[in-house]
Amino acid sequence: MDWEALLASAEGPPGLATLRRAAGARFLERGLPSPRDEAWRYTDTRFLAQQELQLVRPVIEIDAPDGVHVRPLEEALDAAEPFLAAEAERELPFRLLNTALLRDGLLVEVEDGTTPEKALQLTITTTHGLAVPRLLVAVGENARLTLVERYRAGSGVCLPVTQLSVGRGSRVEHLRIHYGSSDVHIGCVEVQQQRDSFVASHLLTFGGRLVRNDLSFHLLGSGAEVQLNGLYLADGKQHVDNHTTVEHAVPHCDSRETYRGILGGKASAVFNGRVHVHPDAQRTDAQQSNQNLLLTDDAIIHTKPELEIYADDVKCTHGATIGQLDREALFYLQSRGLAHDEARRMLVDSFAAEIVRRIGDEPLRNELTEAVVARLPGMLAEAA
Amino acid sequence: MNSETEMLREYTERDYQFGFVTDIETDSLPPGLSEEVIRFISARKHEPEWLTTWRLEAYRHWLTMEEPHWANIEYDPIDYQDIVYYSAPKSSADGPKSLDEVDPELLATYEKLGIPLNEREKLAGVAVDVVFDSVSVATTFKDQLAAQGIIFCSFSEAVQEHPELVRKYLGSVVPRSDNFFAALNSAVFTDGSFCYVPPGVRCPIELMTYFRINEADSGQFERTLIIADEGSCVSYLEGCTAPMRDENQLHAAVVELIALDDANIKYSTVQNWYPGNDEGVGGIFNFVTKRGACRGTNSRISWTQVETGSAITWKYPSCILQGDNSVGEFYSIALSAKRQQADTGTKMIHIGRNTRSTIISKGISAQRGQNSYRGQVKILKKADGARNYSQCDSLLIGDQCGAHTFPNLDIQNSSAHVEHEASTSRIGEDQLFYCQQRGLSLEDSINLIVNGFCKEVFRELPMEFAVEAQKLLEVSLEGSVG
Repeated sequence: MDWEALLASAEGPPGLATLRRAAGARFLERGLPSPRDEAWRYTDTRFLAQQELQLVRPVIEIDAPDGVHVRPLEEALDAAEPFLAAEAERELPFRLLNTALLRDGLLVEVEDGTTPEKALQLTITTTHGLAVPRLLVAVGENARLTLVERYRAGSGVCLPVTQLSVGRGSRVEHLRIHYGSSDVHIGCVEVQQQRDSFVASHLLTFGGRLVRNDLSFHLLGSGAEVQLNGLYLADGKQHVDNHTTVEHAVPHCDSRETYRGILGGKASAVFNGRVHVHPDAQRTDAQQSNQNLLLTDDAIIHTKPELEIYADDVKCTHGATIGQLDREALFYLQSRGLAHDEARRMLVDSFAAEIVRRIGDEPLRNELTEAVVARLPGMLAEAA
Repeated sequence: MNSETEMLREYTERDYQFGFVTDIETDSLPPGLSEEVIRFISARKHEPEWLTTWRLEAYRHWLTMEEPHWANIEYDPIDYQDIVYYSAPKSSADGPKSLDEVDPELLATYEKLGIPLNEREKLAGVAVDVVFDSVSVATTFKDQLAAQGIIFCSFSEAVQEHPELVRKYLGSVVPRSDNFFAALNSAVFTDGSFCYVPPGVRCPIELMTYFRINEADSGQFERTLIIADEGSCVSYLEGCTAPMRDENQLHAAVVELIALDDANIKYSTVQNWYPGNDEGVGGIFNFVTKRGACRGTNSRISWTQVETGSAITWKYPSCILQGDNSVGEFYSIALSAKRQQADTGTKMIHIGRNTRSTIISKGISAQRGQNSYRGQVKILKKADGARNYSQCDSLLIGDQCGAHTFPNLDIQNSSAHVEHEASTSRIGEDQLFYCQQRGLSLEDSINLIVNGFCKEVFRELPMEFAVEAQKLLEVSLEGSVG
């Protein structure tokens, strides 16, 4: 893969040329991450260097409700400025690459006090090649938004970056759903929250050859609250890696994180959750939990919940568990007349439902409940 | 000066004259590290050829390594060429002549800890006949141990007397190339402890470094090797609750434990080296590699540590659970006050079937201390039925300190049960209020709460040690509240 040639040949809005060049230079200087980097220890992306990737434009279907303005990035460069100003100095290599190739961006704006009735749904389909969608979302004050990013991929490589800025007193529900098959998906979500805002983030991954998500939440105003929910299902030789960071920069903020994984086949998964409480962020309340269900002996999980705390008046807890189905629960269900397979399905399903039920929007919740139900029999059959 | 002291001095001086084999006149080397220095140390200790080679290979490997910087600690770069790697056993003349010459602050601490007068002198490095006392105590114990076939001696002695055991086990748990500091230690270690418990023997007393002869010259690169043969049982105590006088800033020790079938090793540490002044100047750097291998089935290794001293603690006592049904345990209290930094934790590697491990870690940060728990639980593919429970709690006292948790869980077997829990909080105002309302002073209330917080670990310490450790925490926390 000749990155230099790719960067040179990529086209984009002239207004972004300087930014793209700077990000490209930094990406070339840093290169692809190696397993020697702690953050990429279990996720090896060096195989990308062996591939010949063509830059493609993803197909994006937009279903926007009233009150939500969606514009292509090239028509909204001024409004995008605050999001992009520091993009050339980022650390994440794939985020830099996304900026360096930036073309297909969307800017979403929700004005102060707007409460759209329906969700903004974006369905991004990629079938081959390299796609770098970028989504910039500005939610004003005391507004509401339900935002769905649905990725459907056949193969190819997709490096989506979403930046979300949530104004004072606003409530946002953000879903990122990935229905993959044999694709590579390396995504990034960055959320900035102002005073008294609330964000519920749901990250649902139904596989893909290699999936990596880097999510960061910056709590910048007192009274901000964030909920991070994650569910990852993987089997075969799939690899799912979720890195989350919550930055408690100011006092009186809450974060609740629950990530659950179900792994079958020879799947491997990584969870790294970091909660960073800055020196003045007193009265922080942070909870974090990661639970994993291993269905087969060949599945592997690496989990690392981290707490970094520099303030004293805080309540922070984290927990991680790894296990298999409870034999007694299985026995109980079987003794009530359920077949073994049915009992297993039911237990695994309820393990996943704990995350899905947290989705506030009902049609979306139903869609995901069905997606889990559809995915499980295959995983369980393989594991049996 | 009484005659006994003179006898002692005469004795040591004589010993050391005979100790010379090389024709170098001085008893200390100039600062610096090279192959010559290692050959010199080895020759001075009359070590066999294989050990000299072993050291040199470790040194050559060390040269290719880089100092690790992943730990959550900060310190000025260490100049490894500015360290004296060998100085002959200190004669009593170097130490303070009497307690009057000892730092009064140190004495006040002894007072608070209730250390007997004669022990204080030894701890402060005062050369008096107390040393004689402990030598005789040690000799009595040695006879008792020898009767059961237990070997407990200094490392250099073991190299001379039991080379076959040393050669078989040295470096078998912590290889020379394991990490930067372990490689350095392997190249230049000067002394340490060696213990071998024969099959079926239950060691009748708690072994303490404190009672071991030659303690004074074990130096900054200490090497400890403990082997518990089939069905044996041993409890080993390291360190001391009282602050030790020590002139070496860098400590890079290596401890290796080996438990064969049905053997049981309990290793307890209380570390209270000089933490530096309030600005963190002059404290000890403690970079230790400790690892135990449960080689046999049903074997068990238990680490208990109370870490209150040192400017920097970098230490991860680990267990390799190779034997089926083996058990690893780690109980730790780490306190960092002033500007102390502690990055400590454990590694539990489950290899055998039905292996179990428990991790209980209590971190206390006060003033401007930074305390990190860093741990790894690894369950390999063949380790069916493995079980791990980890609990890491942190207590924060003061708004300038920090507490961090970095657990790593790597699981490759679906029958594993792994749980990790951690919490961080400060002492509740309601708890303090309750205690004070019952008539306790603020300081006593805090001590009460801290002791309750650490109870699970204190319980694992041998009785007298636990009482002392409790007091030590109280003294170390003094002045961090209010």
